Amino acid sequence: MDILRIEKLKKHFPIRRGFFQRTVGWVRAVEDVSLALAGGKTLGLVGESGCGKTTVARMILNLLPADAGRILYKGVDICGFSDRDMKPFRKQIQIVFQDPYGSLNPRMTVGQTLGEGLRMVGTLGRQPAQERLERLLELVGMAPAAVDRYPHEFSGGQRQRIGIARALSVEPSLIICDEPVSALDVSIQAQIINLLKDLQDRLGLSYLFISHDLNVVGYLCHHVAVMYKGQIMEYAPAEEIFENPLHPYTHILLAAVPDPEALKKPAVAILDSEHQESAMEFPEGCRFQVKCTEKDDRCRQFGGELIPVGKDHFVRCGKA
Amino acid sequence: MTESLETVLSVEGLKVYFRSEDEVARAVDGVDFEVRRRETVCLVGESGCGKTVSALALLGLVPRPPGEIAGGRVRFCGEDLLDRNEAAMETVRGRRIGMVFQEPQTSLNPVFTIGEQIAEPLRIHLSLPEPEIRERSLQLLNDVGIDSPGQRLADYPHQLSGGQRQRVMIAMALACGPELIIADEPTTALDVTVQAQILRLINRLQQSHGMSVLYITHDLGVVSQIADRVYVMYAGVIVETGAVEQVFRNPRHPYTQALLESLPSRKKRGRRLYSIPGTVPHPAYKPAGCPFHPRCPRAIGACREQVPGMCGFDDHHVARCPVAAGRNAADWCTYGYPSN
Repeated sequence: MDILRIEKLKKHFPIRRGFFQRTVGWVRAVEDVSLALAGGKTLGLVGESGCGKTTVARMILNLLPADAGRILYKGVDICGFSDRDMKPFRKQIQIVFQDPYGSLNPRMTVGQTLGEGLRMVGTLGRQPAQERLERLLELVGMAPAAVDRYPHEFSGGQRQRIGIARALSVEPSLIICDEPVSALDVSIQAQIINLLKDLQDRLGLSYLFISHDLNVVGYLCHHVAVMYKGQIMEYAPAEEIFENPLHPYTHILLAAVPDPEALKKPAVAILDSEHQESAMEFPEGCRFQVKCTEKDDRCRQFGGELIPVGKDHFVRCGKA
Repeated sequence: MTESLETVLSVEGLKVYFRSEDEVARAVDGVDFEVRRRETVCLVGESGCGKTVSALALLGLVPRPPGEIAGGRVRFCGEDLLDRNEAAMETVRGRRIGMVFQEPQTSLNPVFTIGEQIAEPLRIHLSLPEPEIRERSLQLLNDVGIDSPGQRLADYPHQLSGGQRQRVMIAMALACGPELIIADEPTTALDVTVQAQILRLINRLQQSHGMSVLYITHDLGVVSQIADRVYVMYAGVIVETGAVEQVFRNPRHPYTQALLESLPSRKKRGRRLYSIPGTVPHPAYKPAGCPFHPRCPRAIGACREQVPGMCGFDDHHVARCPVAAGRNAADWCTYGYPSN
């Protein structure tokens, strides 16, 4: 069963101008986003900055109200839940942030940070809590001595482990990973990726893995959703996306990814001059047509729905 | 690579130390590299390995104190750069060596228009008359692929996207027709599609302008796309160098091997990624002997005591690892640079 199902999620932000803060337009940050994540699996959400990946994540966590759509967590629609209603679900859905420096409270020791989560799951006496703290640290590959230390005493990779331990402290089943390795060095990145994979195997966690790095996504994810300007452009199992990409945008993304094994010059599939496109600007029809290398007149008329093209494979392109 | 390439930049035994009250951080600890005409050379390494400090040092941009050039020579087109005073340096910086930095957001001045900022090097270094400056600025923006350059000249940096700002930075670096461009992580803050555009741009400009490029990055994927030759840095020293095919297809130093091994990719699915144990040493507390030995799977006793020299493998493919080269520990000092 799908642990998370998102149906037609929508979020528009008003653009306000002038003295009375009149609404002069809307940024259609997320439009008609539907996704499914199976239990124990990893779904990659990829796209360039500003495409709405993080907005989707914030709506799933109910940190941002959605304008429309449904967010089904284990079959329960949590979209629009009040803080009180949301509380039991907060333990189930956790997040690991990109920036291991900014996402830990510098005034709290590791023990205090993790202790907050542990207290949430049950009222425990001092001793067992200590024991669980140490178990938690061991789970993410850190020494028990870390308990009394502060975030600044750790390197970026270690801090990211603490961030993961914090997410795990409430025993979640779904973790949203928002670019968890993109701030880390190569050698550290591999450690964290291995850790995420181990934890998935051991604890049966599901991940929504937000990233712009298709090499990491190709390694880690079971399904991939490609997002562009607030819409899912293509959704398919990972092998499908890489072997048989159908949307022109997916093609461009894949061509742009540097592949250290290929030793090739940067690909040519991309427009060479940069078109100044504002976040408010949405062409009629397909949202990608401005940059699309294969556009024609039909693209303006494109209704913009996800079209099923194969088993588990959907494309938002009139030509597919 | 042809043999007739002349050397534009050569760095020999460069050492940059940072002193504080109780410690000396040896950020760059004897680095040698060279850049030849029309060549793209990548300096690659993890954060803190000294790649940026090396570039800043050769431009005379290391703040002194606390920084200190503790040794070495930097020659640019035959002239020594380290002996120069600030005024003499200014005739080189921005004019004969262009620079592009990582964050286009912070390296452009927010209160001046793009036009004013591009005009600056043209005015200072080339003393061009105003109408010519405008013409040249338009040409530069056009060269770096910016739409309607006339309009952009009047824009402020915040009105441009990240990719466009980086294009403007490149236009400024190119303004005086430099012989060498030093680019420090110019695409790290950009999206992959924009990154691919910028890399192609650098590639194309290099061909058309006949410049050399020293490209500093931590991203091995980027290196594989643009480099002719590569220098891999670890803890303030060069550990391996060679043509990009040699280093990527047949890495010799255990560190380079581990780095390539640890890169995630679709082909490695289902396999566990190799991860280098431990962390990069602090520049003030580097281990004795080979700086990589505590993390190295092939380290032997001698690695803990002696600083290894450079060992040749193939033509111009050199790595600082006698163990990989299969040499006796007793021979170490006879290869490459003597241990210090």
